[in-house]
Amino acid sequence: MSRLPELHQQLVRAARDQEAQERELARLRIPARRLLLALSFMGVVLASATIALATSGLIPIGSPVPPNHRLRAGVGLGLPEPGSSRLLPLRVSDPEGGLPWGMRIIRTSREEVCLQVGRVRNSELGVLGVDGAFKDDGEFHPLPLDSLPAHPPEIVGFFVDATTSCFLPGQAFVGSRIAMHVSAAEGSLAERPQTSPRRDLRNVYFGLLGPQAVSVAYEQEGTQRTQAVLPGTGTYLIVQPFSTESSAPSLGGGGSTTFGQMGPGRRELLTSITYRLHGRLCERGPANVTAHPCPPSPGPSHRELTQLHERRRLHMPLHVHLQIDNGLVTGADVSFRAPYAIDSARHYYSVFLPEPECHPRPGIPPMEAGDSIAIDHDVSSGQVVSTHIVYPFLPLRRQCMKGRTTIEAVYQEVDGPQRTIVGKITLRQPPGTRGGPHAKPLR
Amino acid sequence: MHLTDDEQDAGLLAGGPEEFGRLYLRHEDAMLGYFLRRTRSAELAADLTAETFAQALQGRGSFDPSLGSARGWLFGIAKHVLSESVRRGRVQDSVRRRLGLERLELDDDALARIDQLTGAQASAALEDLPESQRTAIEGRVLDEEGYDELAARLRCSNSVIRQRVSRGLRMMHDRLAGLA
Repeated sequence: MSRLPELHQQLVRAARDQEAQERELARLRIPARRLLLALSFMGVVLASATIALATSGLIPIGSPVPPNHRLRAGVGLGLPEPGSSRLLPLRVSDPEGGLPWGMRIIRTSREEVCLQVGRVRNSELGVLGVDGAFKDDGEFHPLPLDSLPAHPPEIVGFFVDATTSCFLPGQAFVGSRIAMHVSAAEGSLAERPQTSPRRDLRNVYFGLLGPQAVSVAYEQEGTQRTQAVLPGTGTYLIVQPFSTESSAPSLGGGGSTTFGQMGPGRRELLTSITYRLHGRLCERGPANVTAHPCPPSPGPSHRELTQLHERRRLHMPLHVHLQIDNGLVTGADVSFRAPYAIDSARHYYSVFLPEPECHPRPGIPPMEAGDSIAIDHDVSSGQVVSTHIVYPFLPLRRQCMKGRTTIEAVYQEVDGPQRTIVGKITLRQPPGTRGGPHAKPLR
Repeated sequence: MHLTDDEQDAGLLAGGPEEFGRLYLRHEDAMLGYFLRRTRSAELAADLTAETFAQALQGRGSFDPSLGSARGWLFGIAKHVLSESVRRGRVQDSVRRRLGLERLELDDDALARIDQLTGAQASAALEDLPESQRTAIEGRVLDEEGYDELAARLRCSNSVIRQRVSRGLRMMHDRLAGLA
C-alpha cells in the first residue's frame, strides 16, 4: 500500500510513456546491429561484426574519443603529463572474443595517478563503436590522453566516466566496474547502457596494489582462481560476463591504503591478495581463506589519533560578503589570502562551516562535523582565494547557533590528519533577515 | 537465486514501467521520511519525493551499479533536489512537469499517512543529540551512507564516524528507555 498512490500511478504512467517514446525512436533509427544481422543472414560471416573484424586486425580506426575541454592544468585532476602515459602489458580476453581489454596509467600535472580501462588495438587504448557508442559505426576509437575526466570520479560522484580511476602516488587502489559496456565507452559516449542486453555488459575488476603484490585470488562460477599481478606496479585486470552475483565496492573501494596494506573488501570480487613482505609470501583476506596471513595493518597511532583533535591556527583574516535578497540571506562570498601554495592534489584549501555540539560533554573531545567546500585548484602563496557558501545561516543546519554561523578557512594535506585553520570568523545574521526560504525573520 | 536488496533495486531500475513503480514503493517511506525530517512538512516532503522520482525516472539510464547502490543513487538525487529547492526558495518541479506528472493534491488522509513517518519520540531523541552525532546517525542509519562515504564527506576518519554513530545510538537508546 502506497502512502501516495496518486504519485505511484503517475510515475508508472510516465514510465510507460517514456518506454513508448523510446520504442518509437528505435523504430525510426536504422541500427547498425540490425544491419549486421541482415548481412549475417545473407551468408556473410559478420556476427558481431566489430568483434569478428577485430580478431583479424581489420577493424577500422575511427575518430579519436573527443577531448575533455574542461581539463585545466591547475584544477581537479590537472592535465595529463606529456609522456607519462603507459599502456600496461596486460591483455585480457573478452568473454565473447574480439579486441582484448587493457589498461594504462596516466600521471597528471596535479600528481594524480590515473588507471584507464579500455579495448586495445595495436598497442593503443580505445573504445568500440557498438551498441550506442559512436552511433554504432563499428570502428575502434582511440582514447587520447586528454579524454580524462576533469575531476576525480570519487569527488564528482555518480555521473562520471568511470572507466578512469585516479589516486595519489603510493596509494593502492582496488576498483571495479559492474555492467561496463562491451564497447568500453562510458558517460556521454554510450547510450543508456542499462538498457543494453546482458550479453553486451561486462563486470570489470582492476587495481593497482604496488610492488609488494604478487597475485590476486577470486572466485568465478564457483571455482577459485589465482591471477598473477603485473610485477612492479601490482596491477591486475579481470573481465567477466555481467553478473549481479558479485557486488562492487562503491566508488572504487578504499583507494587510500598504502602499498602492501590493501586487502579485499567485504563485497569485492577478490577473495585474497598475496604479497611478498620482508621476503616472505603472505596473504590478506578473510581468516578462513588465508593460510599465511600477512601481519596486520598498523592502525592509526595514538599520536595520529590525538592529532585529529589538534589544530594549528594562523589567525589570518577572512573576508565575508553576505548576499541578501528580499530579506533572505542567500549566500556568502568568502575570501582569504593563501598562506601556502597549492601545487598538486596532495593538499588543498577548504572552507568549513563547523556544526558545534549543542550540548558538549566535559572530558570528551569535541567531534567535528559540518559542511566543507573543497577548493580544488592550485593556488600561489599570497594569492587571494575565494569561494561561495549557500545559505550560511540555514536554520536546519545549525540549530544551536541561532542567528550565528562560524566559517573556517582550512588547509589540509590529503595524507595528513592535522588541519591548519588559516582563519576563522563568526558572523551574526542581520536582524530582520531570514536564514532560509522557510525560516522566520530573525528578531 | 537470492538477490540482495541492492541487486533487486538495480534490476527494478533497469526494468519496465511496472518495475519502476515497484522501486518507488520500496523506497517511498524512506524518501518521504528523509524529506520530512528535513522540512518538517508533509506537503513539502511529498512534492520533493515526486520530483526526486521523476528525476530518477528520467535519468535512470545514467545509473551505474558499479558506483553504488540504486538506493544511494536515489538519495543522491534527493539531496540534490533538496539543495536546489532550498537554493531557489521553492520546490523544484521542472522534471515532474516535463514528464507530465500532475501536481499532487493531498487530502488530510494522505498528509496523515506521511506524518506517521515522523516517529515523534525517536525524532526528538535524535534532535537532542550533539550535532556531530546527529549528522553521523542521519547519514549512516537514516540515509544508509557507507562509513567510508561519511568519513570522506565529514572529513574525518572512519573510526571517528563509527564512534559517533555508536555513542549517539547509545544516548538515543538511553533517552527512549527513560521515556518508556
